[in-house]
Amino acid sequence: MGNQFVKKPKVTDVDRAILALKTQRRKLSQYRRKLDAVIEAEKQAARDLVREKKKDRALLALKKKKAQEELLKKVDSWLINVEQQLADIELVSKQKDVFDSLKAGSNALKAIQNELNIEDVQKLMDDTAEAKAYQDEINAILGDKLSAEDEEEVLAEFENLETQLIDDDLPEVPTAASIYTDEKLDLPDVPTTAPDVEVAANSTKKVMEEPLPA
Amino acid sequence: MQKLGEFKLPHFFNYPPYFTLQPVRDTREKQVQLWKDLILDYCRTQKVFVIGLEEEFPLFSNPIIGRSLTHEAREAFLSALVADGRAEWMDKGHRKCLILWHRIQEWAEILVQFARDNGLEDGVVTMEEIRFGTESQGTELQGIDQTILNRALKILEQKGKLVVFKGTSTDDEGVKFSL
Repeated sequence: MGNQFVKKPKVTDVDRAILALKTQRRKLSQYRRKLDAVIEAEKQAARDLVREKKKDRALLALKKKKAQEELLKKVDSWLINVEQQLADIELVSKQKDVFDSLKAGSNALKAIQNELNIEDVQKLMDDTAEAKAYQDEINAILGDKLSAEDEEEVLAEFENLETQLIDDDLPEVPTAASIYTDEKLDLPDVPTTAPDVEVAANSTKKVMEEPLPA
Repeated sequence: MQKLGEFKLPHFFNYPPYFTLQPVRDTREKQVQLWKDLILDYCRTQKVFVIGLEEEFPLFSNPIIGRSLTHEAREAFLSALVADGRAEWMDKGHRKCLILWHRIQEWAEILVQFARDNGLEDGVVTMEEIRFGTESQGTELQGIDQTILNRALKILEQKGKLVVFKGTSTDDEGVKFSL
């Protein structure tokens, strides 16, 4: 059959401790149930005895019930302790897991950083800068060759373009001005209203004079 | 439909012929099939893990029609289940039968799922917790038969998925998962 080398999970002392605690928890729960039953029985017995008017025996039963109830309280507090310890163990083991994985992550980070040497990076940057400087030099030389011959041509072409653009602009202006002169032709109509004002002023004077003789 | 507690019994349960082992091969096969399904169904819903042939198993008799299965008939149906791999004889005399409405492998998978669901991948639980604890309430594992549980655990142990151990002699038996 295949798998002879299956890895069996190891049982640690922590595991045994957990098992012991869980066993204890079960046993305490069982004991608690038993105490509950006894308490109930004593309560019932006391009730019956009271009904039968057996006062002393009823009191005895109630005392026994009280003792059992005290015991129950103790068992409850032990149970709480056991549960608490189980919870604590789980918490601590989870903390350990988190710590372990953080540690592993940190180690991985260090290992990668080790491969990345500062000197190597510096050398790389220097090589890159050198290469760029070389390239710039070549560009400059090539660049010089061009402008010495063509710079004047380029400048001439530029001035051409400029004047062309100015010429394109000018013809537009006269058409705009003719619009304004058309409007000016309308204006002369306005002065014709002035004489009306004088006539109106004379007529009011005449009106003022008439009442006086009366 | 007649009921056995909360379990609805199929119609054939009320017909006397079904309680007699049929001689004709075709009818016998149909009969066996019906009884096999009924037994498995009933055991699954009622969580019955062991059937004792001599005991008063409710399925084996119907007092309303006054019929019950003979010992031979019971053995025949249960043997058919054994042949299917859905049951096992617990003794040579064929007196007790372990019913596997889940095969052992299926139980093993249910156990693994249980561990995953409850965050127990590296955890420790007691046998008693698996069978009766709060986490198993309402799951298939509740009240599982100890024999079946042990078999399923053994399979998983061989695969290295868990280990059964005991701390001191007063401890319960525990299971440590390693999924």
